[in-house]
Amino acid sequence: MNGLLLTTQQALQLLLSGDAELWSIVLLSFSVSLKAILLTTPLALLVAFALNHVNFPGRRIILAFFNSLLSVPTVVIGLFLYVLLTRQGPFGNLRLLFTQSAIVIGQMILCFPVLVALGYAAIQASDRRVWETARTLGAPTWFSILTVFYEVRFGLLAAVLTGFGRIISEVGISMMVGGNIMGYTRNITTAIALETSKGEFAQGIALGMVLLSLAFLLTAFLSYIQGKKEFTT
Amino acid sequence: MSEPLFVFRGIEKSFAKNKILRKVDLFLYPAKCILLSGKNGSGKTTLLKIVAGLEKPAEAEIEYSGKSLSWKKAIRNILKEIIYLHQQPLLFSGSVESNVAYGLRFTSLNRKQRRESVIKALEWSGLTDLANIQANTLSGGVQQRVAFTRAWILKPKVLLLDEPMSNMDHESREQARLLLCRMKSAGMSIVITSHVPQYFDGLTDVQFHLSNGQLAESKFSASNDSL
Amino acid sequence: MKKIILVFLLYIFSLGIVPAEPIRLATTTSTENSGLLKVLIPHFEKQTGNVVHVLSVGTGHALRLGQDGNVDVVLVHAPKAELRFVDAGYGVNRRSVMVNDFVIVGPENDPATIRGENDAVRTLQKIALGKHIFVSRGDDSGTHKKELFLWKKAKLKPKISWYREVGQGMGRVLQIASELDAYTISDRGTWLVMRSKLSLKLLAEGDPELHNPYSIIAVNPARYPGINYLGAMSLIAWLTSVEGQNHIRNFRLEGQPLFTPTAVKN
Repeated sequence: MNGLLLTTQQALQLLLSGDAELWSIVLLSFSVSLKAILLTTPLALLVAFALNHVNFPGRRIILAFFNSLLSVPTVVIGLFLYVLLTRQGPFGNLRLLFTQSAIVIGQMILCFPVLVALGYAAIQASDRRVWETARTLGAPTWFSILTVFYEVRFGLLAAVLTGFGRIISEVGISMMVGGNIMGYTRNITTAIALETSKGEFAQGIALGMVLLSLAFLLTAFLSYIQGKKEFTT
Repeated sequence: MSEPLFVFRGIEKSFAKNKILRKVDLFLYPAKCILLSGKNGSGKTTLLKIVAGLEKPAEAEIEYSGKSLSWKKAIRNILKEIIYLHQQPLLFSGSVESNVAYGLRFTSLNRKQRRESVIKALEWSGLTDLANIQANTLSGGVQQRVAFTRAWILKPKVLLLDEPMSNMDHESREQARLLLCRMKSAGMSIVITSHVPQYFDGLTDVQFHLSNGQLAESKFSASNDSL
Repeated sequence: MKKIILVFLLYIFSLGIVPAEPIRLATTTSTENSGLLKVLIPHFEKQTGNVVHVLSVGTGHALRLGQDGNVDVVLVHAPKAELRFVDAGYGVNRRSVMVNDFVIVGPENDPATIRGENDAVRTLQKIALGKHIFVSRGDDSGTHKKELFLWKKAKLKPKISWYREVGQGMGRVLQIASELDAYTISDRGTWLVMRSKLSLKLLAEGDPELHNPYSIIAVNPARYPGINYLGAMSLIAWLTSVEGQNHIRNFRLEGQPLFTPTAVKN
């Protein structure tokens, strides 16, 4: 117990002293995950909208498919992507392996089903009249979609936050296709894995605290949004 | 009688295996009001939505400005010139002013013109004092007025109202009726569905009844008839 | 406010952009753990203007990365596997860089009585005889290969009842051995870094069989046209230069010298 307290103390010191290496790792996590979520959200929400409004054959199957992807282990995605990106593999000549882009791609694959499934639920809860009112008032299709999105914005925001939470805390993909390269692809989760394997628990705990605080903030924000959602509907 | 603004010919629509609308024709004349009656589920709403471009018919021919097009080809023009109002209007989250201004962004007016248009519209319907209130906190009758204004500001050729007075008290109904009369005299073509034709005395020019998927002109009943 | 967010977003996005083509070096976790590269690489980068991306994995994995063309150069310590690598045509220009050694560590009370032994084979025989718990890397790394070689030399086959293959890096293995009060073999570098956190003690060392030679090999450019061969050769040249070798010689871990440079004969 003593050891734990001491290590936690060291961890806090590291964080508050603005240790450059530590904070560059945190920044990297955010950079990669922000890119992934920003790139995925527009397409995923459009898919969610289409699944809601367009009645095409196989709609139910696709929806069930996305729901099933919600719990894929991240190492599986990482492994799958590694096989695709390795030099010998089909996309080897893109030289994407062990780059930040590879992690971004993997995280995009990870959060896409989350955004589609939760986005679908949010849009489904919306009033059909929103779409019809927008259209009849002369809004073109794209603006009508945006109007629908705006009316369910809290539900969509919750979807995005949930997706973000999932990708910033994953380690399977980052390890496999990122390579844990210092200063380049070493993010919070892979750094924790590395530091603890070296026995540097202080660093590991410091990073863990950052991640935990983030998780806490996200959850708090999510419930705040939930409250707003219930208030306005 | 002047030329019709729009003629819808041969509207056909089925849900599952039921034919809801069989070869329905609808003539929409300027400054004229049609009252559409019929049982619940007889297809009144579907008919209105097809006319508004919100639902796709199995078949329909549209005539306007000397042209004759299929529904699919005419849809852009329909969405521009014909506005449908739900029984319970859906106001977007935001102020009364932002709701009223919604459709203006797709017109060719510049920012200054849009602002002026909104101010005039709010005056027209007596909503100026409520401009900055959150629209969905208002009472049903006032929301109805906001919906009218939101449509009126776009100067549509045709206005379709689905059971417009159903949740209103007497005073709101009177106010709404007055607004509709004003719109009609300005040249708008109006179609109203309702169970209660009496509400629209003085407004209705012709009454149709929809049953078995077909429209039949029913005798124009003045409020005295039902006594 | 919006401006601040925009600038922040731009900064975040720019973090992924690498100015020049990096040199990808695959090396072992024990090399990384020693901290040597953290000292060496910046010198190299500053002098040559190159950027080096270091992936530290097990030796087997590192060589595999080279074989698959996913890195440009490998720095490992497993002579037999290295020779096979070069023979198969996966790597070229193999140069000896440095050497350090392995040590055998175990619980303070040393039930197998190996303390002070300088014969590695005899040490393992004692451990096997007493069926004392021994933790193995089990991950095809240089350390693992050395350990397997020693068991073979001792003509012993470790039994599952006391032999634990964990398939993890050296740091983790030492932690596990510490928790289990077990014996294990470790490279001196990782041992020096970790020893203050462990309950284990250094018990046996010095046998020439415990020497741990490091070589650097460039991935064969003929197999992968896009590989950064010039970058790889540049790194090899620097590491085997007088300057690079001096940096290696002067490296201290916990105040102790760790590596002996072997590239340049005086």
